Amino acid sequence: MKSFFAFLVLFVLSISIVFGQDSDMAMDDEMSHMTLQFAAVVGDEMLMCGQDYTIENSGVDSFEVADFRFFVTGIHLITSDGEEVPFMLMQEDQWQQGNVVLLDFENGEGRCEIGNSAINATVSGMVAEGDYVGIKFNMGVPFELNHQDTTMADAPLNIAAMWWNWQIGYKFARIDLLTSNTDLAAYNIHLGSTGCTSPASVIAPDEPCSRPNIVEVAFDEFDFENEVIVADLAGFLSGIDLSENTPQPPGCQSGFDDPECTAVFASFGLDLETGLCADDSCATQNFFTVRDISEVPIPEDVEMDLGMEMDMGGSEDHDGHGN
Amino acid sequence: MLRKLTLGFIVIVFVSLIAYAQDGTTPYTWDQLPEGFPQPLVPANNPMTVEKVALGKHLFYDVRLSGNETQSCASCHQQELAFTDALEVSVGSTGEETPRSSMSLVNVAYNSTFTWAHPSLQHIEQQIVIPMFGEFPVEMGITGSERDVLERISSDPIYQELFAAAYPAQENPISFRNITQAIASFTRSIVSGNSPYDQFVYQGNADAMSESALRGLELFHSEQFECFHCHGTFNFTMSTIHANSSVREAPFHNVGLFNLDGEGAYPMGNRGIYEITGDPNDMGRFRAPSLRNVGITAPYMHDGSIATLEDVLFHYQSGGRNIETGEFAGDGRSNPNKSGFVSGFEATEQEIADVIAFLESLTDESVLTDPRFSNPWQDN
Repeated sequence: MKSFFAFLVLFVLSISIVFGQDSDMAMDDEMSHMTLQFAAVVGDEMLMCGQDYTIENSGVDSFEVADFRFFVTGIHLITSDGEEVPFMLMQEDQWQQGNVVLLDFENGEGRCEIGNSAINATVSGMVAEGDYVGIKFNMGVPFELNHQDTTMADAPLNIAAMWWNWQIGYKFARIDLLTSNTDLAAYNIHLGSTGCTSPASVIAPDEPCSRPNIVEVAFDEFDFENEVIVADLAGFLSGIDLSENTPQPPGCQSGFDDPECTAVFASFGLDLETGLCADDSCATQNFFTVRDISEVPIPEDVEMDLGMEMDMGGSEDHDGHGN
Repeated sequence: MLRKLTLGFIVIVFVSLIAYAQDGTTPYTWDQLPEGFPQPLVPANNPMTVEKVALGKHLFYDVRLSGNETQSCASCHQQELAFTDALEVSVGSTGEETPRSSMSLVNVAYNSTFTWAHPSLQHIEQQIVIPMFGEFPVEMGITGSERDVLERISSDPIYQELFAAAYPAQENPISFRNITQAIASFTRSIVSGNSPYDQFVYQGNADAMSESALRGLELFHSEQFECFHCHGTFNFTMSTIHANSSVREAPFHNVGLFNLDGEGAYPMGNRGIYEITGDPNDMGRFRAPSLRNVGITAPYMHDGSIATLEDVLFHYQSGGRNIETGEFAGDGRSNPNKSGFVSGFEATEQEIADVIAFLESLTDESVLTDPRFSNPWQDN
């Protein structure tokens, strides 16, 4: 409740900024700062590490979340005239740079062993003032950015856990589950491009991958004041039987012939064979929904530092305490 | 924030350059970083200098640093074995066995955490004091002999010079704090990336790896084997941090080695980060070590309980280890804490041989003899 109140304050603040009362952050007079709030839930419950969830018809008694992160790019706001106006991300060093933002709902607790303590559920950016009634964005990483070396890449594309290799590129979405199914507990969903051609996995392809597998999301009616964009795992899993799981790998890691990917890709609104949106729009996706903010538990963003000050030749700290 | 950091960093460098001009120490520049490697992070209270690295190298190879003058850091971290010791578990200076297998020191500058299983040991400086002063078990055995050890070091004119050069502003520089910092600096300098894999990936040598190793590389990165989920990054462990990191990734994994009670228990004294955190989820979770030079660092696992790479591959192929008899009997394959990436797989003999060929292509022969990291006392 406290976090919701904090969010409300933040939201009202950001709305007030939208309407031009704060020019502090504005790049010019016609641009306004706006914060887009995301949330991740399992039905009505907040999605978080270290919690058991039970949903009907999932085929398993319960499951835990072991990872839940995804990349969003190309955010546009839609005016009442249908014009799509780019949402320019604020440039910072952890969650968003260029056109790419990472939304991260795992905090390294419980079984989220590959994660870290940070959480990011917000996107911060500038947009031309206007009357916006809708929003669109992609879940994925465009080809031009997808095949770089994660070690040297700008944040947030420097997160190794979200990367396969040069050839395939990034995991656009990483949803790792551990179910109560003792025969095969892991159900890992890793969305990314496939059909990427290069001589080896450590070599980037010259040509775009044949199946991009980028989820195009659009909400033509989005109330920026009263609604948030929600990634709902319960909705996403509604057509997926977690007990129907085959090894090598368990779950779906985007393999075009992986049996689990048929249902998983349908829930992403993707055509498994072409790697494009099913029905040209991905509108059949079950991952994102829009809900009234009063109905959604909102996580608080958590920043983290590296726990180590960078120094490559600083002055000697004679008075410091070693170790 | 990075810009602030960068700005702060530039200021620090600038200030330190002035400081160095004054105190005569030379900043260590990392100018020999391998292609494709990021700059390591260094704690602000122990900046790298050429002089500290030189001092640390002498201390690392000096048995006078142990209580009974029988053991140096290099006893368990031998250069020709990529700074390991070929034993299942390391043995301390008084003959006591430690519970763990010696870890390679190559590229530890990039470790998110240190030792096999300790989430809060984030700096080498914190780790080094464990073998130096630890009593349960005794390793270097300095505790109780502190004065003797410092006297031995202080009485050697070589050390008087080395300490004075590394800590010119200090009147009495021969202290355990400075010893620890210098050994940490030397250890941090052991960066290596000139294996056939590096030559293929970063140096553009298309012939550096064998056909079998190249097939193994693809299997290593496949969803069939799933190795890369824990052994990812340029350093082949997800527990990696460096100057281009924006979050601290420091995972620990249970790979199904034991299951003593059917509820996931590991043997006492070797229960992973559970022994630090007390969280039942953490039972049996250990840090995935870097796989660089893994071809010459047998035996494997935190307790050295797997002898060969073939057996390691069999372990992961089986999705864990079933111990049928004896005090450690139990089916690790059904350990409830087991990682979601150790589900087992089917593989042909050829595929296993290919993955091993790939793992062997991660051996950098040059680091095993590189004089920058060799025993300096042999030259004298």
